[in-house]
Amino acid sequence: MDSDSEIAELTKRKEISRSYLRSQTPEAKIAQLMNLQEQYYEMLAVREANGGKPIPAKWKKWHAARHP
Amino acid sequence: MGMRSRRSSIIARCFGFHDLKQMENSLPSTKIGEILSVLDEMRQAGIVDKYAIGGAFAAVLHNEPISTIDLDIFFLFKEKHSSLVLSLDSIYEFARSRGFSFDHEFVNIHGWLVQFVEASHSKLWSEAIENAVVLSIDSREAFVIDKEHLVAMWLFAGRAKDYQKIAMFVDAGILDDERLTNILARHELLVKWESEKWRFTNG
Repeated sequence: MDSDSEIAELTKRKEISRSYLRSQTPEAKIAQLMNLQEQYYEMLAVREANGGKPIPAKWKKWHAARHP
Repeated sequence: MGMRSRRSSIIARCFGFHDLKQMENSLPSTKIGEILSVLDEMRQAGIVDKYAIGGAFAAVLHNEPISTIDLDIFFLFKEKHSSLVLSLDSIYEFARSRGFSFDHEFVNIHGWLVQFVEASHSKLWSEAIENAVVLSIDSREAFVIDKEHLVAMWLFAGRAKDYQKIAMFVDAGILDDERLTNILARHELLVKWESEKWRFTNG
């Protein structure tokens, strides 16, 4: 597959996944948001553990609230 | 493989799952219904009058999930406050009585960081609350700021993250242009829209 058709395929996949997300119920969208939050916090924690920037204070508050 | 099945398979793999069933079964319980109950209690107790969900959380409901840590509640007090500095003491007092922890920024309600934003000082924010749309979440009524008022509020705020959300709404094609123009005109934001719209549109 050449790079143009690969980009076209990836763009198509992105559009399909975004249109699926937009069509979800509010409850499902909120649940997806919660998954995103967990993934984002994990990314911040890995960054900190590897000597990068510390986890921002707001995200620490989020983690304490969600995982008491 | 049929078209529909292929589409489902692509969606699931985009999110790291084998199929849609597995993806949907992995979704956590949100507890938003319980938060809506708390907001109803606050209204019944006369602590807040009208309210509407705003900010990035509202963007999630109208469009697609984006990461945000908090749940913004724009509200109006039942009583008109004469003081220049509005106090959220009654909200914190309610939170304390219900055992919810809080600091100056957030109230922790069932694991969500809820930020209460009093809106009476802004005609745009007050109008946004008055015109909130009603969505059903966990079989409860949820008042949510409509898409066009959200865009006007983000345009007014003018931070990079606000412009990103406007761009997402424009890209999704979910805005009512006439309604948006009317709101922007009413709140003297049309000039700013014209000067900034290159950020959100291809034209």
